Amino acid sequence: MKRHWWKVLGILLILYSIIFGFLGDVPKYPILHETIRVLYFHVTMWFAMIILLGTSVIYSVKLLRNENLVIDLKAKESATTGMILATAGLITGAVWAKFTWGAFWVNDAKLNGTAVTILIYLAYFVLRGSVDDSLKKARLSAVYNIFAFVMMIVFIGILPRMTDSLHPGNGGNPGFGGYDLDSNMRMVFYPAVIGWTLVGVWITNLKIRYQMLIWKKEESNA
Amino acid sequence: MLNKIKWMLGALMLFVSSTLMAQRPEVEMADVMRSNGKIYVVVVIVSIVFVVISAYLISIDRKLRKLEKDAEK
Amino acid sequence: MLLQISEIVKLNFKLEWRKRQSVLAVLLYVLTTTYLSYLVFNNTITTETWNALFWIVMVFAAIQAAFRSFQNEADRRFLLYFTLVKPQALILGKTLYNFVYLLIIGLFTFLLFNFFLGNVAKDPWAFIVLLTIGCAGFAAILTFVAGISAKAGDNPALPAILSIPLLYPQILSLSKTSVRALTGFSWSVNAPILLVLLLLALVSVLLSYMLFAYLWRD
Repeated sequence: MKRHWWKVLGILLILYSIIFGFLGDVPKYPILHETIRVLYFHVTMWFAMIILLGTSVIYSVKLLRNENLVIDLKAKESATTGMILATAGLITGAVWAKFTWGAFWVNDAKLNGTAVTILIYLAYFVLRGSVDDSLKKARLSAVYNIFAFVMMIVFIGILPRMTDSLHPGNGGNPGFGGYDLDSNMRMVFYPAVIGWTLVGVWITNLKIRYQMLIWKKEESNA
Repeated sequence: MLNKIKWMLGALMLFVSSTLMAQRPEVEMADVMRSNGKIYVVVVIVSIVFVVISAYLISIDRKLRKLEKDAEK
Repeated sequence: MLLQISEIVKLNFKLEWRKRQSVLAVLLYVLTTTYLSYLVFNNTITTETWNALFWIVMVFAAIQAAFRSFQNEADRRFLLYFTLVKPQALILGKTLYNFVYLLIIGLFTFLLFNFFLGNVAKDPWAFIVLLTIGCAGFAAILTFVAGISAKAGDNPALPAILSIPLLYPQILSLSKTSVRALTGFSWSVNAPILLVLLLLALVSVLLSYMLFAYLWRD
């Protein structure tokens, strides 16, 4: 149990966010009504995704110093789980958008940033698929991962601020510009982020262990 | 004359401010669901879904642990 | 190191001039797509569409142009010369060369668009400045991605897949700003965007400078 406490914590935190996400008090906004609770699931998954993609980049940096296939595996699987969370986030976001704004997709900086992120990481997997030699694959994908991640952060961080300086405000919809959580929501939101991150890390961990077992088997057979 | 103007201005402001009070209507929330207890059904169902998925994750974790132990022997 | 960079730039120009087909091929690509746009739009083109089309044609032409950067490197004859050059000098030289190359293509595209699709630019100099900054950013990212693709084997779609998402931020800013260049440009309002574009280009160059050595290790 000593080694697995964080997994249990992750599950408990998400469970907490489910229960209190529905039962807790939320601010009342027009257009959104109760759907503001979607923040507890949709946005928390995005945060967890960023953390996981960040982990992937850290492993990529480690790989450049020390070309080790295990580190490459960790980088790859973190990115995979990040992409799963991104897809879940995208679909939930689209459904939420359809019900609150009337369209599945709108021209908005955050959505553009999301599309860029997903396409960048899909390209990462295509790159991995095109190279056969494992060490080369590891090195090339690490270099691309670092380059792409930094560009992605620049895009997500800087560009929305820049366009805001020219176009005053985000329009009249409180549900999008207003990610200022009130204190009630914060009590559910931040634990949920931690919970989703821990579960994401757990899933990544399971995949890594699975692949390492396969490698071990191949080694002992060969 | 000045008094009349002050009086009319005061009445006007009172009138305007009363219309402003209409600008915070009650935003509809799911209070119906909360009031008849059905919200708990929603919570229980989503929690069950999540617990089942977690149980699946735990079982995968256990299987992997067992395989890892066997591989070390 | 500056000497190495200028040598590389000169060398690439010489090589390109010897095998003129590739630059002419890219220019021809621009010509054919511009003419295609002309045929399809049949004089019903609005300023916004002109702008959007321009950047789409430009992006694809740029990807084609930049991909060829590292194709010579696969050639055995160059292996010796590359071991003598520091990787950082190589990437900076290639990026600079690609910048000039893309600028030439960009100006050509602009001329063609004006010729076939109408002279819609109210402030052509602003547009050209924007184009120059855009080419700098494109060159930085595309040269680096071309390096990755060259090392990654022969998948022809790979450079496009890798580079287009990385270019989205720039294309977004460029197209938004260039519409204003077409309809009346104000330097003071748009200066922040121009700075951001320059920043993007700078960050890309910096990143490629730092990472290229790892890429080039064998």
